[in-house]
Amino acid sequence: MKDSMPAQSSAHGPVAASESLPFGEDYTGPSALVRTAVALAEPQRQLILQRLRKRFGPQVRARFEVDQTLIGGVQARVGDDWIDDTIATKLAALRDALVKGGR
Amino acid sequence: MDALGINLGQLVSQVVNLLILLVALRSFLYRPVLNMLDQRSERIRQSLEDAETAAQKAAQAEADYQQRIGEAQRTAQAMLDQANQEARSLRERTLHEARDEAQRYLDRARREIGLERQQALRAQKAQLADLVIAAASKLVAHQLDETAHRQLVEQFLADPGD
Repeated sequence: MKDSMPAQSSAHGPVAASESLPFGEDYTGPSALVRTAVALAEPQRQLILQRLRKRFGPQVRARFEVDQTLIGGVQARVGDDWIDDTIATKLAALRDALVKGGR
Repeated sequence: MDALGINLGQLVSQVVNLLILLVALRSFLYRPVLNMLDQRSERIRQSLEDAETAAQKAAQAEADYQQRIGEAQRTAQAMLDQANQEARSLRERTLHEARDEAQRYLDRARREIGLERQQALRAQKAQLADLVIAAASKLVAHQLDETAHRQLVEQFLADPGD
């Protein structure tokens, strides 16, 4: 299941809305890909977008996707930057610790 | 003389004949026989000398032969000793090299066994970790309800991170 969402508005400015092309064909500014395990309600999307704009700049636009393999939490990528607070990533780190730790 | 029945003339004639006979015998019999005997004695003496010379040569040849035999035996013994020494050295060197080679094989085998054991342990730990994580993933996914998902998003928003 994939969910694309146009951001509507935020404290940093209006958010573009588009179902098929989330930012519009002529948009060349910073964009974020936000992935979650379940579809987010609109208020949550806005809060996430506000946080991303606070960190990466007011021109950031966001595209939201649902990926059930993340299990829970939020993962956002803006350019080469990653913000990952998902259960899947934490479990992967736990797996690495289990494999590497102890003899 | 006549009374004795001796005829002087006949006696003189016989004496002369006897002398003539003696002279003839000396000239034609004794001397050749003596010469022949002398020559025979000389030949015998020469033969004896030759035989002695031959015996001396034979003895010398025997001595030379024995000397050469002795030298050959000493040389052969020296070569045999050297060959034995070289054989012992070769045997010891070969044994030493074989032991070293065997030790190297053993060390390598131990290292490979150790590596394979570590790889097997890592693989087992990875499989076990995969199982644990898979089970935990299903369990957590099953346990997460809408409220929990919302709390996770709020936790993401609350994390300063920047």
